[in-house]
Amino acid sequence: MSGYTLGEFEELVLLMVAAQHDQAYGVSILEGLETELERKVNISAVHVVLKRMEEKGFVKSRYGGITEDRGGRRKKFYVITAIGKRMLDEQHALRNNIYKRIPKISFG
Amino acid sequence: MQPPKKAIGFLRWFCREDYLDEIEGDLTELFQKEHPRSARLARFNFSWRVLKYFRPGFIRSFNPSTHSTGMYNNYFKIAWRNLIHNKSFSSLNIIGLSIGMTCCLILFQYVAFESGFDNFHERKENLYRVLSAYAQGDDPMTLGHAYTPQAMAPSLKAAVPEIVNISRVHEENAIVFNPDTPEKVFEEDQGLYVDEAFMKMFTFPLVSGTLKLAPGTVLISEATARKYFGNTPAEGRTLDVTGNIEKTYTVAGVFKNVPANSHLQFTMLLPVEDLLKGPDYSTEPEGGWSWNNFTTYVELHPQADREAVRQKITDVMLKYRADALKQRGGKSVLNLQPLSDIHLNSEIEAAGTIVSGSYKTLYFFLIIGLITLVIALVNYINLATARALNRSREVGVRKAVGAKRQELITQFLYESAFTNISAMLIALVLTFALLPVVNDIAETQLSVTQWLEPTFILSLAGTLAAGTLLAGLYPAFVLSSFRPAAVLKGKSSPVSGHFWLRKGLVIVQFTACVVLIAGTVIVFDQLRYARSIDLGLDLKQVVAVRAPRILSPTANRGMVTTTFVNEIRKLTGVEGAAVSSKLPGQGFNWNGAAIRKTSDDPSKAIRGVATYIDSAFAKLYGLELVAGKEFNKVTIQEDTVDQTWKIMVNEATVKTLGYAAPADIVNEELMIGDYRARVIGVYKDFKWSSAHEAQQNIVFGRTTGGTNISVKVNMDNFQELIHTIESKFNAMFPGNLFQYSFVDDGFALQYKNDERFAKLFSIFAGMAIFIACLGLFGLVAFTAQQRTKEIGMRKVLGASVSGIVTLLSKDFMLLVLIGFVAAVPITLYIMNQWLENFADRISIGVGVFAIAGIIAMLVAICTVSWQSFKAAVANPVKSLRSE
Repeated sequence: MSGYTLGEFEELVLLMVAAQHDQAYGVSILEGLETELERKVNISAVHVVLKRMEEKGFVKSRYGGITEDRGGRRKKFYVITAIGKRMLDEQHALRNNIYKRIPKISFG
Repeated sequence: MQPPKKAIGFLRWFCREDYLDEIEGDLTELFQKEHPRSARLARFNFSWRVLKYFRPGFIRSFNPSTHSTGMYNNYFKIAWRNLIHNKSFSSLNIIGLSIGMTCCLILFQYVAFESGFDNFHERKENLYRVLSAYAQGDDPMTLGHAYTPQAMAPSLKAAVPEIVNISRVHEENAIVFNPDTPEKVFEEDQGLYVDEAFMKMFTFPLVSGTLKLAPGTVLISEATARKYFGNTPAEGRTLDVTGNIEKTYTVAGVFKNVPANSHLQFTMLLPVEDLLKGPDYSTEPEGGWSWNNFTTYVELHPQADREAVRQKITDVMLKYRADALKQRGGKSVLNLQPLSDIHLNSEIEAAGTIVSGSYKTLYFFLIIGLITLVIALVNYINLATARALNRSREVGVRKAVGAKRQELITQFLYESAFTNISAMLIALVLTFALLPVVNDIAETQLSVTQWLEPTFILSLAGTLAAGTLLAGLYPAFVLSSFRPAAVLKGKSSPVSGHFWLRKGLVIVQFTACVVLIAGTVIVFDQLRYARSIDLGLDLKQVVAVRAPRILSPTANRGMVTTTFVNEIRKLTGVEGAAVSSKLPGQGFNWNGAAIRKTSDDPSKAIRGVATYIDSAFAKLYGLELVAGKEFNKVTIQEDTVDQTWKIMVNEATVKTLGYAAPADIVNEELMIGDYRARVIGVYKDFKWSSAHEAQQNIVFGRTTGGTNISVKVNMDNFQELIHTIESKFNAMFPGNLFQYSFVDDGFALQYKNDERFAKLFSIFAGMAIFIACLGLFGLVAFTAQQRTKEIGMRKVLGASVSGIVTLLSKDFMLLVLIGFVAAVPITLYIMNQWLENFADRISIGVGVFAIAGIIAMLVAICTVSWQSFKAAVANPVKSLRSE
């Protein structure tokens, strides 16, 4: 395992980037998270996390075209990298491993 | 459909260029999505989100070059390391500075509060108070007082077009109750009779109702409204007011409580027309130009020329008064005092409850604040240059590797700024914590909200900048001037030349300390002296009962008061009772009465004061008769001033009028103002007022119905006695408020301002001395550290502990001594200025300086010897072993 672990919010954003493959940008990630989590999410928090993960190499980005409703500003799309994907896999595997060890007890 | 322009502008200004596309784009997109639902919410959200990006990571670099950031980071790091490395010196510096700054901040705030009086009036630039100046004969003209007659305002308004609004103000102290709840009676001592224009001129915002003050209506403050009507609306309700006149008023409106920084304090505004129609003023002679009981405020047209208006109003006044002035042999002019000058110019007397400050006190405190700050800064300079020796190697190395002098200076200024900012932060916390205490002592209402005012922020920035530069520049220049070759060889002590400067600064500090200690001693000494002056009046065990104000229309005031006083005299425990219009310490009814012999020219008249007493007054207060006879006991009201007016005078009057002996004036006729009076007796001189007032020429007329009933009581059973008096009072005068107080307490109230001054003065003096000691402590500690080896050697060679303590201390004690000598003339000069406030004053004696000198010496000795002793008893083996 690499020395770095993902925080909860980081993991969620990274998952969302992976899920919206090649079409993920600030607003779409925000809206995706808000629908899934059913709570308000800060756009600035999303940006902070994206910047941090880009620096770590978990995501990479490219600029899209200019659209009307963005005041003439370009979209910045994010794509998950191989390392990012591996991070997610490791994290997922780790959780699964431990989850499987839970004895079958009825909570009914 | 555009996002807020300001927010976008801000974002574009601070945000990193490479992030801007993404962030602005995303925010705009969100805005567009939210806009259809609620435009306002969308705009708010947009701005709020922009603010959230204002943090490191998103903010672009504002430095012109990356090279300099590195340098600054290094300066910062070195400053921090130096601070941490020398914990004891840094804390001495920071504690001293922060206490000095705290003093300074509190005093700044106090000064800002005091000088910001009446700032809230929208038309403040155009508002003036009319001052009336009068001079007898060839006396020089003074600035005058703010008492003017009632007829002046209408005459001025009619004759001078530049006057936009004009209002008279007359004080009222009334008994008030709500007719629905007649059992709840209150005294309102902050009532004012004003003209309708008053509320137009001044900005006292209305809560409800109307500003229009028609006859028969009253405006009251929010607090007053709550007092009488609870939470129900007050407009249209009625209040019974018994003061100068007796009337039922309808509440027309409620205004916000008058702010603390208004020189005029009032809870109730009554129409002046009703007062003028009352029994007193409707009989005023000379067409209403006779009695100076009103303060007149004017609002001038913004373009009006103040000097021209002043001339015009003086002319108008003279048109009516020239004859009367000629008759009295005096001359008079009117002046216009700007609103902003009123609060601090406390010399000028006026009607109504005036919150008065004083320019002198303000300057005094400002100077004390600055002195404390300077002492703290001097500490910094001293310790910084003293430590220069330790830093000389660092400077040498820096220079050797190519640092320019400019850069070294910047570095040391950085350290100074660092210390100053830390101290300022602590000072802000301290100030915040201390404000309630200061408010309690100084009876001010300073609050943290003042911190947001530009003047405060400016003075804060000013203090920081001055502190950084004053404390930082000198050490910076000294340290950066070292020659690298010399210091790296470590042979010379480059700071020895600056030893004299350090000594000089210590002298300055201790001079300031001695001045402050001696000042404190003098202030307290003067107050003690003022209170111990033999008044010639016995105020002990005298209770003053306020005479009833509400009487049935048929009752004769003199008669009922006499009946009541006779009743009281019969009570056991009462040693005497007397009636008077004023009490000792309350001033007089008639200030500035012109007194002369009937044969003299009016221009030769002397200035005197007059009040009214009854036949029992002199005996009760222990007045000593030196000639003539006392007032007779009379049963009818005889206090009218007419042909048979009989008066008593004091010795001072006898002397000033030019009589050789008190007996000569008895049965002489005098003119008091325009009234003829016969002197029947002379009292030995006594002090009626505080030590601020010189001996006055006092005239007593006779009254049987004055406003104050003095009762000399036996204190053994006081509570019971006062209850008996109260029940008698309530039985005889239903509907009145029983109020009593001790006359000596009331007399002592005259020194309230002085006591407050003394308290504040001593607190700040204490702080200043503490800071100076911190500095001395640090300096001695440093010297001892420097001389560790020398002390070790001396001990090995047989020096005694006491010898070493003396060696280390004597230099510093000499400095304290020089400081003491320098302080003497300064103290004499400053404190004589303060003592000029008092007519009866102490002279500054040797004793004061002896006390101040001994205190300063003792404090210095304790500080110095503790450190020197520590150095002296240290084991020489330790200090000599290490190299």
